[in-house]
Amino acid sequence: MNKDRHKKVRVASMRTSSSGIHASSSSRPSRRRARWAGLLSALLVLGLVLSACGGGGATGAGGGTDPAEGSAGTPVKGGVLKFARSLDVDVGLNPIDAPSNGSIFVIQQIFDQLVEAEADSEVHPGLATKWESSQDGLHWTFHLRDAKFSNGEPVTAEDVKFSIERFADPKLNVNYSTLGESIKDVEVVDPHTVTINLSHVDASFLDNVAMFAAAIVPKKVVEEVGDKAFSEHPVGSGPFELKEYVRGQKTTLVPNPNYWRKGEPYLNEVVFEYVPDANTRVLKVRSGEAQVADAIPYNQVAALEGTEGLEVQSADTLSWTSVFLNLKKPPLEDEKIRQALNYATPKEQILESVLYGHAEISNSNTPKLKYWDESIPPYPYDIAKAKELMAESSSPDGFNLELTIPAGEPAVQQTIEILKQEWAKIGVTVNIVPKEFGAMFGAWLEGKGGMAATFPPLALSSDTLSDDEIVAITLDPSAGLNALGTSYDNPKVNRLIREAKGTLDEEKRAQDFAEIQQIALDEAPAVPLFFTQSLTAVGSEVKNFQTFPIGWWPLREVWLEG
Amino acid sequence: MGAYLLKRAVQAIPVLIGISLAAFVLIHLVPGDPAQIILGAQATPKAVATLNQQLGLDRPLVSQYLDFITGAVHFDFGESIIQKTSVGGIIGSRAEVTLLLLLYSVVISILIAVPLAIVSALRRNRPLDHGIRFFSTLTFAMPSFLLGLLLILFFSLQLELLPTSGYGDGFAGHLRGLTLPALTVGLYLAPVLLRTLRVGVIDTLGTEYVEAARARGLARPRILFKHVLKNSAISTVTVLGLNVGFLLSGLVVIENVFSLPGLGSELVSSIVNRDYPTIQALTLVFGVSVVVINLLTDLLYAYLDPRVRL
Repeated sequence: MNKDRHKKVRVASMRTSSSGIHASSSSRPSRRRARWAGLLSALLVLGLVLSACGGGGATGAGGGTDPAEGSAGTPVKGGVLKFARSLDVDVGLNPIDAPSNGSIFVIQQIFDQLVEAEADSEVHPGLATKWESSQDGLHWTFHLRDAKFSNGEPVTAEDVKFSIERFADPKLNVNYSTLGESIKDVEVVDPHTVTINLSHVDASFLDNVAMFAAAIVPKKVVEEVGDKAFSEHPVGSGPFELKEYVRGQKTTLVPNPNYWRKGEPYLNEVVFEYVPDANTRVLKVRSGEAQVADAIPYNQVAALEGTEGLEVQSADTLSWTSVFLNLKKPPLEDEKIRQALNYATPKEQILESVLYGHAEISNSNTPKLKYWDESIPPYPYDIAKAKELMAESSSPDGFNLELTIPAGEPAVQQTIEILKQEWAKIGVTVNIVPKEFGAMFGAWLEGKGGMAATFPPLALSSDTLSDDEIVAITLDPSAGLNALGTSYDNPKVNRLIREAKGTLDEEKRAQDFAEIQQIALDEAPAVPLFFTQSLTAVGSEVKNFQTFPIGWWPLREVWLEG
Repeated sequence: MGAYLLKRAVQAIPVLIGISLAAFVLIHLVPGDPAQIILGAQATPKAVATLNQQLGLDRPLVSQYLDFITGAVHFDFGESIIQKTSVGGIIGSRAEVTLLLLLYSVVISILIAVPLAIVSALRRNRPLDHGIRFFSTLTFAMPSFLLGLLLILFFSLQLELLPTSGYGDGFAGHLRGLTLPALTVGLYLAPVLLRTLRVGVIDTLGTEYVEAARARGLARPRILFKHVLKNSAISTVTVLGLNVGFLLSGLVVIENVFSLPGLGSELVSSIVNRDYPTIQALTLVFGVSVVVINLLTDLLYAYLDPRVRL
């Protein structure tokens, strides 16, 4: 794929994103944010529903992504890619137990799923060349390709059954149990065919099995060595295999000699170096010690862009920022006040001065997922309208708003300083309370985190491409998280979420999600700010580098020039 | 000397118990549940409960503390909640980095401080003295992450002499990787030593026994190194000891800037992840180290100044 094509893909549908983390300038807490990003994103896995599959039609018979070609030139083999990462492979490399982007994005290089989420909003063939579902959507049959694990053993239907049943087991798949929840059992039809039976219709099923936790692992090896050892010595069928992992320092990958996409990967070696400090990462690519560095701070993009031989790729992520409001804290139960806050928010100004343009103004309480409706207008910045709403509200004279923010996040701090000034104009006195992110997030979800809260730019994101899971978590308290701590509860929205999840009718799903988006925007359980982007510095000798929406990079396609 | 050592060691025991208790209680008081953090926002209360049970965090605090202490006595700190490997192993691999960095930094700071302090003392209130004191105030006052980045800019980007960051491979690689961080710490530590040593040298130069040595016609270098420096070093050694104890856990910023997998960065990430076993073990290790370093400082003190032993 060349770069132009990437752009088209992005505009047409989903976006690419990169590592879940915005690193702060000097201290390590960024790692934890990363973890959250990983968690949230992976957790909020969405249904990547293949529209064509609804009626039982087979799809995706073709190969996956084409090998690199086109304007970027002919790929050449060889070379070592040095990648300065903000995150370490901190929780090992076992797909069933890896709730951190530090591990997940490397797992994606080592393992394959039955189907794979790539740059657009549909799933693509992975270890399955094609698949079909029964009329009622309860039985999904997958046809496997001839593939081998890196140890030379073939990938069989037994391995698939073993892996998917682990994914469906809430005791093993503790981290993402809700995503395998609709799976009843797996039948081996023949060595190249499996049928997955669902206990109820699940529009996000294909998305769920496209995620890393549903990666296909060799049954024999896992049973022999156990999960813990497997986590340190993973064996997968993906493009790379693990050569060495030195905790806190680096992870080295080499090509899987048995990889089924012939000719790939092009690189001889990938070295992920763990470089937690953002400034050091920048210096690393500037000095040429690394060719790629992730999580570039907003305020350094311009300087890096001016460096010869470097570009900064900003990729849309499935992540978003909002100021969440606790509707149980007076006077925030008043819809007029919440709308007034939205009208009094100068999103353009923040975008320019804090994020240097690297984000998109949000028109939704949730990220830009598969059914995101672009036509719904965001709240405009309109102080007059905001004052009008305040005058009509239950607190015409204004009120004090206690707003909790994560400590040590310059971008959040600056954003909130601007909001403080602007909201003062409508009589709202903001009292900023910085807290450590882990502590504040937990407290906020339990309704104990003050009146309002906001999180780091990439802290909240999705690991799958359709809307079901994230929309439920953000807006429906019955999903267990108190509507992301807001206590928002609209029976109509809750009903629409359930209906959308329970149907394979794409048109109905799109309508439902658009309606939910509009209702939630109007009723404003939050002040939506931005759809955020990841920023990755890439040396010009690195060809075909891109970031998928779920955050990882298909390094199998990457090659080095010269 | 033996009795003195024994007395100091016995005194350390209640301190260590206090440290272990504080390490345990403090982290359990901080809000934030490891299971919730591991599982993330989407976790159902049921999943959180399951994980807490798997991690043994549903048991009473007292029994968790007793387990911790029983294990610690046998150097068994259990398994990290996050990394799922033995905490002892984690600390072992990281301690090497921090200790090497600390040693390297101390060597650099002594190499900088001792000659400059002597020159400064001998040229008291002359321009050279003022120059040295100005320079040392500057490197002392500069935040270490800034100093570190400036050193990277100069030595790595301009001169391309040393790597920007990382621990490197092999001993030579480690030394190369540690040079800039050690220089950063050394430049922070040197002024402290320089100041105390300078004052010490000035004081000692004014004492009668130095006068006497001079009067006996002893060679100047011999007076300086045998009589002056040894006697001036006493307070400097104390300051160095205190600082080393402090730096052991305080190297986190440096470790972060230079991507070094040391103890400080491990502690911060463990706290952030609420990795209780690792936090408890690290706090205990830091506490014990400070106690041991203080003990060693006192012993060195006793060696340098026999009056202490009395």
